[in-house]
Amino acid sequence: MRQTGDKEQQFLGILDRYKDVVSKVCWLYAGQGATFDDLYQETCINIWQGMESFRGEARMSTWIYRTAINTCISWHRRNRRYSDTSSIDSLEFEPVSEDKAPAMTEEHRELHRLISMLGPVDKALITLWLDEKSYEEIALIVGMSQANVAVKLHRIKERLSKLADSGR
Amino acid sequence: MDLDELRNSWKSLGTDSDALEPVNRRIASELAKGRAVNAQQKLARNYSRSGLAGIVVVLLAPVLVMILKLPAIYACIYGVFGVIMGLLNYRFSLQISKADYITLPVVEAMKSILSLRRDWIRLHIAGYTMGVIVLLTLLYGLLDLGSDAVAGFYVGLAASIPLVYFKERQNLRLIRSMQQEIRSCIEPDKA
Repeated sequence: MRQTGDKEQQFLGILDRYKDVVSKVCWLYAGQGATFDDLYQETCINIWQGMESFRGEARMSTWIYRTAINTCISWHRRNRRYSDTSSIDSLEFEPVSEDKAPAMTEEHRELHRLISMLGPVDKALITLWLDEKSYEEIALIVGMSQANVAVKLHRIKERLSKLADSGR
Repeated sequence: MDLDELRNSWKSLGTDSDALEPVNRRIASELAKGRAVNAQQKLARNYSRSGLAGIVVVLLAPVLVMILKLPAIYACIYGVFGVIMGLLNYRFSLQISKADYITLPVVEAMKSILSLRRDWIRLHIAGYTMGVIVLLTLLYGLLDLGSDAVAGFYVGLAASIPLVYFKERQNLRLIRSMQQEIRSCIEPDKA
């Protein structure tokens, strides 16, 4: 019983420390059939489930990013809202409206709209770039070589610039 | 909006801690009581239940002999089908519950899910193949029972074929899109 209580406190501590990471990743993947609440809750459950297997081999932040991103990608795949990530036109932007999600300004909406047009892995890469993670850490989280991270990020940034220009 | 503006916008995105704190406490409490399960566990449970459905098929096998008056061989074929499908589904449920596709690096996690999805397709192919054999055998037996039974059989078959076709087509498309995604991560120059 005490062990459960300790785990609960440890879990709340992790959520408190990484709430920005978890909520921002969930916010970015919300829409397209999934709500912020759904993703946030599922990510929290997965953090709880993974706590026992976390042995500190990776940094805690790396582990949290992996858990949040994998949960969000997996959720979308299950709901089959993206079967063709190459077609921008096939994706519909659904604004996030949950009150627990980060508060949004017009700029945030535009950020969400642009990133919603990317495929699931590209979305993960740009999220990590936006959070100013090094290529080394991005490579560790995503499981790609640093060279591939650089190539992919370069293309994503080019694509985002074009999308932003075309939206003006 | 250029890339710097995009990054500034991301940085300015704030989390409402006051709104999240009670949510976190509720989730923690539910998890501590063992009341909340993740999608992976739900999926594993579903396949475990499908495994139990195999037992139901076995239990229904004697009905073929007792009520429909078919020879015992039909009940045996039907029962064996139930046992095999039950075991395959149960094995798959164990495979799902043991899989780690949440804490692995993203690309590794996708490979792990892709492998599960392939096994899932194999399970379906095995099920359909055995199902067709069992159905054709049953149809042969039902021919002696009159036209109503055969008509009912054909109606059931006609209704299920389009459903199976669309479901499996969706699965295959999803697998192809995942393969493409993984390839683009491993070999971005060729993607």
